[in-house]
Amino acid sequence: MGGHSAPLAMTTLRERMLIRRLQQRDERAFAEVMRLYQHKVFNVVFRMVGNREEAEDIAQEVFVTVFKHVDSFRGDAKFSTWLYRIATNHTRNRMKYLGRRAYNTTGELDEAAERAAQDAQPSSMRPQTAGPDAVLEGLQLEKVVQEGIAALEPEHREVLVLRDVENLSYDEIASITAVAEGTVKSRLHRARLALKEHMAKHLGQD
Amino acid sequence: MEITVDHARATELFSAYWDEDLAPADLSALEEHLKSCVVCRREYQTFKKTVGAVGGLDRVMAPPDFAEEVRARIRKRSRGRFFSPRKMAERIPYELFSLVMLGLILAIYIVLQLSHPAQLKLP
Repeated sequence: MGGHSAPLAMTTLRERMLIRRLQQRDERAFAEVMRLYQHKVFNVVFRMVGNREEAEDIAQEVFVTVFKHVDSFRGDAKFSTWLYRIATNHTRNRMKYLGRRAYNTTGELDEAAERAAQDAQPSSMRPQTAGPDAVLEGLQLEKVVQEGIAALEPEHREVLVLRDVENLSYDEIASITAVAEGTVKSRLHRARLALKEHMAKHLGQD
Repeated sequence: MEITVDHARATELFSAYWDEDLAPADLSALEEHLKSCVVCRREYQTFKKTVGAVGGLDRVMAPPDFAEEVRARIRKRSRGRFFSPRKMAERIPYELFSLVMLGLILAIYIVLQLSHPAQLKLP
């Protein structure tokens, strides 16, 4: 079974100092924020949109928004919660815009699976000691999972990525997505069941 | 009161079971059901594999020049002002500035009063 996540907390002293420095336009604070959060934000956005080019553009806009509005950040939530909220909103808006233009992620998903093969990050789906068949199987699984995520309703996709990819707590996801915790749980349950059906259909699982 | 679950109810509880978020009564009822129901046990195995597969996805890293691209966007949008040291007037809160100004005016008034004592007017 999955583990419990840490409870939602206010900003830590370290975070407050970092934000204060950022509000004073300290370029080293900018570098620190980028070092701490760029990969997290990029990964979340990529898993939601399933397209690297779009994810890059959206994630850049997320940080531009963060720095533009950092003076208004009051510290009543964790900085990362605020950051994820901005990322989720930007992604949601972009998906709406792309949806109107009949956007398709399929080609990117193939590319993402190929890129994953070259990625040095270890994956439980792709053991480093596995042979070529197992690697191929792992890549196929990743592709099917990502396609399944892309096929979910946007509000289901958000909670699934925040919970099962980023391992955030229910209350943090509720704060990020501005819905009640009960809604987060029911959306998550529906998302997981829909993904289970997708995987059963494409991988021939029971 | 003892709770019993059927297939549909068991499926409803999978997500909370995975997240260890079930009430004790639901937890024991589901575990009892899973012990005896091979269909639900198999369904839960598939559910576990699915959620585990999402958690096992690679972390996709931002490109190496990502931070530099963000910095360039910020510089362009702010016309180079964002990373410039902020002007004194922007750094000092207005309230503090007002208090200092009031203090200064009061000090000048006191100094002027002391250096020019009021002249007594004789009848």
